[in-house]
Parts: sequence; C-alpha cells; structure tokens
Amino acid sequence: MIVDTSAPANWRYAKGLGRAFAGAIIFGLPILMTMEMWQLGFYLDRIKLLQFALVNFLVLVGLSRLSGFERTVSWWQDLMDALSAYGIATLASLTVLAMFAIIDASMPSSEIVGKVAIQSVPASFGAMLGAKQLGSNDEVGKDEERVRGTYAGQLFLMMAGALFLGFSVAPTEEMILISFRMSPWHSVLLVLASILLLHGFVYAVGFKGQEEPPGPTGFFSLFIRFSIVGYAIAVIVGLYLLWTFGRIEETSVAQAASMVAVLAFPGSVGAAIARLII
Amino acid sequence: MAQKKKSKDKPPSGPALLEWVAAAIGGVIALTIFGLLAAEALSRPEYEAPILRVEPLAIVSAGNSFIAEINVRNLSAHTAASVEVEGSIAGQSETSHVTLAYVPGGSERRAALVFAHDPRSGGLSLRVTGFEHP
Repeated sequence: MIVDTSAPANWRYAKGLGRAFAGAIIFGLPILMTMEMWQLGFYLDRIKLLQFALVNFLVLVGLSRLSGFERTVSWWQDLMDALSAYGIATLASLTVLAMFAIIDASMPSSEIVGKVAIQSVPASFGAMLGAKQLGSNDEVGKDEERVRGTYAGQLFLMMAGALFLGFSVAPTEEMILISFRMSPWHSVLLVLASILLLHGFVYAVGFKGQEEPPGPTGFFSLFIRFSIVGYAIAVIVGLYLLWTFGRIEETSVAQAASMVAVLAFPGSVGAAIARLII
Repeated sequence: MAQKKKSKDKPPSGPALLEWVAAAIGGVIALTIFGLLAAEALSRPEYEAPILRVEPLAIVSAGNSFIAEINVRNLSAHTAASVEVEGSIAGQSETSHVTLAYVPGGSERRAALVFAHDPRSGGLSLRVTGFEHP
C-alpha cells in the first residue's frame, strides 16, 4: 500500500477534516441543544444504543461511497473515512456537550458515553457530508457518480435522508403528542401528503449527476419505483427509529401506525431531499 | 516519483499520511464507545429497581422561609424519572415536595425543599415517595 506523505495531499486532507468538523457542528447543533437527546443518552437500553451506533456507522461507510471526504477507490478507504468522520463527530459532540455543562467529570462514564453516542449520530452525518458539501463540488469522482446513479444508490440515499431527518424528531415528546391529537383521517391525509411531497421532489429536483433517472421514466414507473418505494423506506426507517427509542413497545397497533405516519412525514421529506443534498 | 502529479484533477497515489492518522484516532474512539456500550449491555441485569437515596446537604434561612438543599443519589444502574421527594419536620405538620425530572443510574441530582419552619429545630426527615420508569 502506498502512503502519500507529500505536503499538498496532507494539506488537502487537513482541509477536509476541518470541513468535516464544521459539518458535524452544523448538523449536530439542533440535536445537541435538545433535552430529550441528552436524556436518551442515559436511559436508553444499552443494547439498543449499541445497535443504533453500529447501524449509524454502516450508513457512514455507505455515505462515504457516495459522497464523503474524497474520491475513494476501495472499501477500506471508505472504512477509513467513516472512522475519521465518526472520530471528528465524537470529539465535536464531546466538546459542545462539555461547554454546555451537559456532561462533566462527576458523571458516571455510562452517562457520558451514552450522551456522546447519541449525539455522534447526526454529527457524523454532518461530518461526512460537510467534508464534501462545504468544499468544492468538482471533487466528486466518476465512480461516485456511477454508484449514485444506480437504483440501489438512489434508494440508499433516500434511506440515509429518512434516517437523519426522522432521527432528529423521533425522540421528542411532540412526536407522540401529535399522534395522540390526530384522528385516523388526519393520518390518512398525512400519508397522502407525504407521498405527494416525495413525488414532487422526485420531479422538481430531478436527478443529480445525470439528466435521466436510471430505468424507464414514465409517470407510473417513476411514481412506483421512487415515490412509493421511497415512502416505504421512510415507513421502515420510522418503525426502526420508534423501536430503537422504545416508543412502540406496549402500544396498540392503531396508535403505533399513527406514530409511524407522523414520523414518515419528516422521513419522506428527508428521503426526497437527500438526493439533492448528498 | 514520476507517477506523482500535482494536478488537482488526478486522484492521489495513495491515502495521505494524515488520513491514516485521522482514521486511526477515529478507530480508537469508535472501538472505545462501542466497547463501553457492549460491556454495559452485557453486564447490566434484566431488571433492577432504581435504589434512590436522599440526603440533606445544607439548610439556609432565606427571608421568612428555610431552604433545605438535598441530594438524590441513584445507587442502581437504572434511571428513575419524575422522582418525588417529600420532606417533613419532626413535631410540625408541615411537609414540602419536589419532583426531579430524571435521576440517571449511578448519578446524583440536587434539589431544594422550602419550609416555613426551621427544619434544624426538630430534625428533617426526607423520603422518596415515587418515581416513573422512563
């Protein structure tokens, strides 16, 4: 393996790290300043927190394939970028939480680790995207455009977007309160609105990096393959988040369905917009 | 050296040295966090009631009332939410209450009870009257 010790290459990577730190702060701040997120850090079941951190890490590796610090040529380079992004996100979260006096040395390590692990999720998304987003756009490699252009690549982006936007609202009390207030008719309307919004984005935003979406481009084909499948992804991600945060255990099916409908709304906006941002 | 080009359009010949350093640090951090979470997940028993201990810290007089600073410590690994603490003074009918949003497992939280009578005169008794599972 060749290691590039030249100054320009290292300087370029240092700038990437700086952008990643900025991205971590930008994406992390709303979550860093949300009370429920601190509380989740100490009361969330450790097995759930561990699997959530691992899932987040796998998504980071995938994001590195599609975006990230620099052109990547192999899976181990994606792994390295994911590790760097995770490291930066953790340090950024730790610094900000310590400045806010949300964590201090008198707390047991489980409380500190839990709080930082939760915050690292949005911050690491931000670090990975910031490395690319705040930099110049021409750094996207041909290989990434190719992967991004595939149907699987598009679905992965939608999943990542739904996960990020869904995560930032899923643990809040408002999520549950909204679903209590809504009648079943409100839920049905919300589902339809989510799908329409998603479809609007599919058309209005178009497809980045190429003029035509992969596959047939008829109305129904696009509607089924992107909007409906995208909404299904938002629903699955919503269910996953609700399960992770312990919101659907011991809850009736109707009530859980209503919560999923609420969470799938930001989820589908995230899914739609991810293809634009990432 | 002949392969090395300065042009920005060319991909680098290999990962920059800094990339290895950053990834190594990130790897250590990630393994530490995953490891600590896993260790806790494995060591934690299925259910254990939060064991809450409440103790007075200091009593100060403020105008017409007396403020008793208290400390609530959770000795178990399980978090208790909405922890209610009741304080009473021996020989007086007066009781005071306070609710703490959370007392995380292994942590302590501070609060205060306000009394009209001086708790130092009779002897202050404190107890936790209830909590919620988060």
